[in-house]
Amino acid sequence: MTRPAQNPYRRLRGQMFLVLLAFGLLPLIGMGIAGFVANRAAFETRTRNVLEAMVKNRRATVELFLEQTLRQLELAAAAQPAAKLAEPATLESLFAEMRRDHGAIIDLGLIGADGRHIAYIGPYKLADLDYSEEPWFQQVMVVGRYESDIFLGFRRFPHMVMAVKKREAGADYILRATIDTDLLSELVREGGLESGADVFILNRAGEYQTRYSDEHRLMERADLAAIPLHSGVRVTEASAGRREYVATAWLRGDAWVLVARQGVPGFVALIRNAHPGVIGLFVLGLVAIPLISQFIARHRMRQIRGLETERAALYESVAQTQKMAAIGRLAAGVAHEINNPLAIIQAQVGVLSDILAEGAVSADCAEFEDRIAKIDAQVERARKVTHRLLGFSRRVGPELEPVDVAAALNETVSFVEKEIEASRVHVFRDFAAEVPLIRSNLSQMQQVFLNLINNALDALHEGGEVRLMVRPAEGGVEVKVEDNGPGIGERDLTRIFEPFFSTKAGKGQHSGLGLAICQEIMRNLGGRISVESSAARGTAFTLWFPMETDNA
Amino acid sequence: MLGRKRPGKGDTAAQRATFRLMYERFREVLSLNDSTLELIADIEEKLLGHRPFALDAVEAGVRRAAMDIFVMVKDLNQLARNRHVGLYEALRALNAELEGLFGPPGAVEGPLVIPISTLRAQDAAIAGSKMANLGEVAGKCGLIAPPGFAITTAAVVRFLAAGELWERCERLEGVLELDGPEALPAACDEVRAAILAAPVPEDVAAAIRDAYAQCFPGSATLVAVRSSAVGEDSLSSSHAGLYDTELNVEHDRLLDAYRSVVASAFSATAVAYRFEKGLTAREALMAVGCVGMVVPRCAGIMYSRPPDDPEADAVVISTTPGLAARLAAGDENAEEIVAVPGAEVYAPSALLGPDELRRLVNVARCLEEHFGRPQDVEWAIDFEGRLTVLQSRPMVTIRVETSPAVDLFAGRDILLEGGFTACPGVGSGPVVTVDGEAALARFPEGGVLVAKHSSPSFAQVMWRCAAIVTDVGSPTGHMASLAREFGVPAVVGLDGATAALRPGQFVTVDATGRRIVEGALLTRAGGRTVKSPLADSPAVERLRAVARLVTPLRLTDPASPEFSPAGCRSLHDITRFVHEKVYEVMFHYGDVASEDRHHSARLDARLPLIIRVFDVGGGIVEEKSAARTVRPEDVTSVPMKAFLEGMLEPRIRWDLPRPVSMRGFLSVLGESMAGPPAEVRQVGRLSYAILSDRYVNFSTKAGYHFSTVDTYCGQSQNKNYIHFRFHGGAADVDRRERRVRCLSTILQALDFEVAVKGDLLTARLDKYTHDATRARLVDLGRLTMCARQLDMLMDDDSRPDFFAAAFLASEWEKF
Amino acid sequence: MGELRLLLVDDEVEFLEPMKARLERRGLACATATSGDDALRLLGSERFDCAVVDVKMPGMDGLELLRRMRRTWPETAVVLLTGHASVELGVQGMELGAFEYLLKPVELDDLLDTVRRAAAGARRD
Repeated sequence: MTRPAQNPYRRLRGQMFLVLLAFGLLPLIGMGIAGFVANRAAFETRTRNVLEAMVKNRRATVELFLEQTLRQLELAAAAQPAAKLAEPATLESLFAEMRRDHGAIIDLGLIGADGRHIAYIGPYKLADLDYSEEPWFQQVMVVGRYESDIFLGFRRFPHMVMAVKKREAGADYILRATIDTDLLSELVREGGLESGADVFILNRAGEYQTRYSDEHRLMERADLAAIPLHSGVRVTEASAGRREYVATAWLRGDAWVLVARQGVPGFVALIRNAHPGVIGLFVLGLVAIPLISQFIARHRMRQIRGLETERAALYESVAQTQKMAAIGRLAAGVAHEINNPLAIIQAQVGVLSDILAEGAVSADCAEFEDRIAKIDAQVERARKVTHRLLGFSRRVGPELEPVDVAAALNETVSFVEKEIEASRVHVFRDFAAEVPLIRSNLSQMQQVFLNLINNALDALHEGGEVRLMVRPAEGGVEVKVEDNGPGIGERDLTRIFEPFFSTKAGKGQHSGLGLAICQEIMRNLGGRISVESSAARGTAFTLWFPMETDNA
Repeated sequence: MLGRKRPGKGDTAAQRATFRLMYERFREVLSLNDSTLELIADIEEKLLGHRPFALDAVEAGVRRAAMDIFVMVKDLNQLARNRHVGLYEALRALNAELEGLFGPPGAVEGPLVIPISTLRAQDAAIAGSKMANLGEVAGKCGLIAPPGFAITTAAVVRFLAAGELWERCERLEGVLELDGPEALPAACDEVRAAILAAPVPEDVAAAIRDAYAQCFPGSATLVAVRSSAVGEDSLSSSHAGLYDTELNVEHDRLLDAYRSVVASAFSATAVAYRFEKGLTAREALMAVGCVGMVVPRCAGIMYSRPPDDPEADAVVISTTPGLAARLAAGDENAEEIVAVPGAEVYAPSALLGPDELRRLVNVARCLEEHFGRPQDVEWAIDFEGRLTVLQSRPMVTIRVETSPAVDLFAGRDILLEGGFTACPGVGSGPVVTVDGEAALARFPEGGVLVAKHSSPSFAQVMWRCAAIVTDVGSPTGHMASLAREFGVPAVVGLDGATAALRPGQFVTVDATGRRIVEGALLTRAGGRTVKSPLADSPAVERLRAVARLVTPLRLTDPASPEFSPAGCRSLHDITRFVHEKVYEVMFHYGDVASEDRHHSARLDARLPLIIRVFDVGGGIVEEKSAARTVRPEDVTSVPMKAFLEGMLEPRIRWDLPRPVSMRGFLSVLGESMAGPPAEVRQVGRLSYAILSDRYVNFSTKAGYHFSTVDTYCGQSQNKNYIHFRFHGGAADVDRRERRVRCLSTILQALDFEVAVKGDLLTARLDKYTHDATRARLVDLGRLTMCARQLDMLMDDDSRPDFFAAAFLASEWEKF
Repeated sequence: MGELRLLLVDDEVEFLEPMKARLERRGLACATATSGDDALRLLGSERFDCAVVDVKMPGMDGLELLRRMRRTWPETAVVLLTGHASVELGVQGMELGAFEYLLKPVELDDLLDTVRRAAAGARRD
């Protein structure tokens, strides 16, 4: 049963906020998605086209490079007689020339038909090697030219070899060069720099012939499915871990395949690709719509709550008079019957107070006076009720009466004496000596006091303190009701005068109207009510009553 | 009692008390007047029938209002030395009439019981429509009346009148309206328990016993005791199944069954049903039928037309073996036959032969013809084949509701918004600004009346108005009340309306929504208030009967001979009369004070007047309350301060020689020689101010004229007013008339409502804010000084306008 | 002029007795009657400035007493003091010439004030 006090406004505001938010965000997000989809299709097409063009272009470049290198080698072989070539100086100058032109040749050697080096220029100690049993040697001897795949060879280093045969005077010589694979890699990689694609060459076994990044090692098998032979450029979609496009083109008589792989552009890439204005608008919307929704919801709620406050107060007063009116008919008969005994009580008590006033009784009569005053007050209360029922009460005067605020406050405290005792709360009074009488409505004033004192008692634990202050202030009387309870949170503090707002959890009968009514009454009495609160010092309600209430 | 003591004998305290009392009575009258007008406004709103309401609460309100008005009348007579005792008679007559409408319905004429055989349709008022119809159909259409009798409403009134049962029954609607539906069942149970426990008055019990003995000799016959409430079975409210029927009642349980059926009228459902339908407890006055139980072979219900297609020529018959009670309650599987009259072969039926079907169809058509509309008939056929009609009532057919109007104002620019709805509705027309009686005479048909103040005088043109808009005014005012009576959409208190709306501009006023848009909007109701669904309900009818004695305002013109106690035909009239007359009394307040000048203090101000002030509370600073002279700065009365501020305007140079013309001087001289006018002698040579903190009654004789200002200026706007009277003068009639014209122009420009009769000018300003009222009082103070010898300046017909313009341009030096 | 002479008429002694005590303490000469007939007897033998009369009494009611008093002793002002407020009674009372119509219970000061004014008015007329 101890459910926290539900504030219907907060829920309503939450709902309103969500609805507004949904109405604002849904179209925005919908537009975003639609734009995204359209954008991706265009982007993908473009990516494929770029990839295709690039692969085509790279293949041509690689082919041209290899072709030129080979041709250079052939030219060199043809230009000089073998004897000349066998001279280290000639070979040396040839090597330098080729390097200058191409930079791709690492070494150069002239090999005899027996497979042994006749002359060699280069960083490696290859002079004594016998190539006669090497497959490429056999091939070059037969075909006249040779281009190798990348292989480790004797040097245990990935390299590529090109060789051409020179026939001179019935003897066969072979001019052989080692090609710098880094340069080849560079040539291939260059194509992918712009688009971010990985571009490399595989041999038929699917081993890397070029590096597509610095960390990458040659001769490893690529993580690609076997690429079938095909002509021209082909773009396929693959998904090895991620979705990607793979563009392939066979080259060098289908010995190598040039591969460019590029991931299908992801979300981030797409976003990055979009127009910054569009993105800005979208982000702005995302940020602004919740803020605006929040603002509108708050604003509307404030309006609604304002209306509700008015209505609640109005309802309270209307309901009260209407109830009076409704029970009027039946109760009027009863009122007649009550007036007579009431008049007798009043007269009898009046005699008692007369006797006391004359001092005829010698005993200490303060208590008698006190109790007689109380009877009198109750008779007056009953009189008001019956007279109102009979339609005889709306005199201008009686509603407003001279009120001793301090006495009124004291009397109110006495209404809740039991509760005060039970909750072991201390009540301190700090009343100024000279408080003027004011013209006001006593019972309404006491209703406000009662409400505030009850609130204070509810907020306090055993041993808490309530401090009541009364003092004259700016053309009226000021009353303070303070407690040293836990205080009211700053957020709640601004709202406690709203109807249906209650911070008291689980106390079924609190309608949350108490303070709203207090405020309404204070307004009726031409006064003011304000509140201060902090966790350190507790809560203090300050009331101000004017000297005279305009008879409203 | 108003201090007609010989001078020198009275004591200050007693005098002070007398004034205090007068003042309080005066204030009481004003306050009661307000609350009465509020009640009137409330009744008028309820009369529109937009919402259900509890008549009981209205009646209680009217009773309290009657008491209020009694107190008002008493106050007035005590203030005015019983000059208006005729009001007591008028009030007594109205009150007696009202009391006749309230409370237990007066003893209903007629017998306590009536045998069914002698009942006719016109007995519906006392026997209930159900029983009356039963008697009516007997002997027609080949039917016989079942043996039995009706216990009339005369009997139930006698029954419920005992022990205040009736009051408790009537209160139930109030419980529903004020405490909500949750509170109703418990209250109903209580009331029903009280009815079940109440003794049936001996004469009623005896009449029932006798009737039973006559209809069912031998006291062995079982009877059905059924409800036959007065409002039951009407077309618009069928009450279907709301009230109880007791079957197989033995002779000695007759009275118990009677109580039980009567009590069923106050079940929570029945009360709520009536409330929604705008029916009152009087429609639950329950006549009860005691009908001999038929032992039927089969019984049923038939509709003389298919309910969903009332045009079709067919009779829908449902039948069940034995009693049809449970069939009516709708929970038995019954045989249903659709029979087409004239057809040779009817649908086959297991319970009814073709002859019986044919007879039923004939009876259905016959009853329909007899009552002139489709009927819902309960019947039974006994083992001898005798057909008995147990009940015949108008059949409820399905009607299509019209859809609510769309918001015609959507998308329009709103010219003005705010104010209070005096009478809801929408009206379009050209703006006609009204600033005086003359403008009213020229008011065109279909115009939108726009004025600064609301005034009952608009009644003259209300039938021509499309709508009314005023800058100032209250929805409880007289005019608002008239607007509702005429059904003219009206918005009052719409600040700035006269300024914002151009004459001739075509506008639409949405009085319900309190807004004004440019242009015309076609509305279904032709611009007039739409009649609401409850408009003709019995509750509204009864309220109308009450309202007829409460709300109509006949006394609109204080000058007419009708304006007298004898002319009061409603509580509103009395209120209006008292309200008018109490001011008259207050205007003579000054006379009373003049007899006690030695008790008042002299106001020591630099003015060409001797002013005595009499403080009835809070008008003078505390320490000067007993002083012989007070200074303007000692005055704490808000309105007096303002008025003095105006009078002390330094630019009014009353101390300089006046720019008087020789002709004016001669005129004044001539009149003076002929002797001062009567009122000058009457008031003596002094000016008097009776003060409280927010009230002043200031009467002054300045020059040869006599003026009175009676004003209240506090924080509650609705109570603020300035009433100003200006009278007399020494110059010839032309000059006085010109002066009055000049003043009238000025006062109208200052927003006063001005009435002129000869050289008497009265001006009123009601319900302005505290600050506005204060400002006007300052103006009035200046005007009082400027007007001192204004008649001497009024040489020709151009002068009034010249001086009015001068005053309004703050060129007070010219006077 | 002397002290103000007042007649209290009410069928309830419980009310009359303390009222008399209180009013006398405040310097009024007070006689009481418990019925209309009683009151008429007293009026026949003494002169009163004012009578405070209950409206609902068994036998002769307050209005009837008022009617007779206005006829025979018009110099005695009558204040109606009743537990029963009704427009009808009030109107009748005022028409018959009651000085004031008060509802029980009434503050003693208000009653005194009314009685003094009533007596003053009666003496003047």
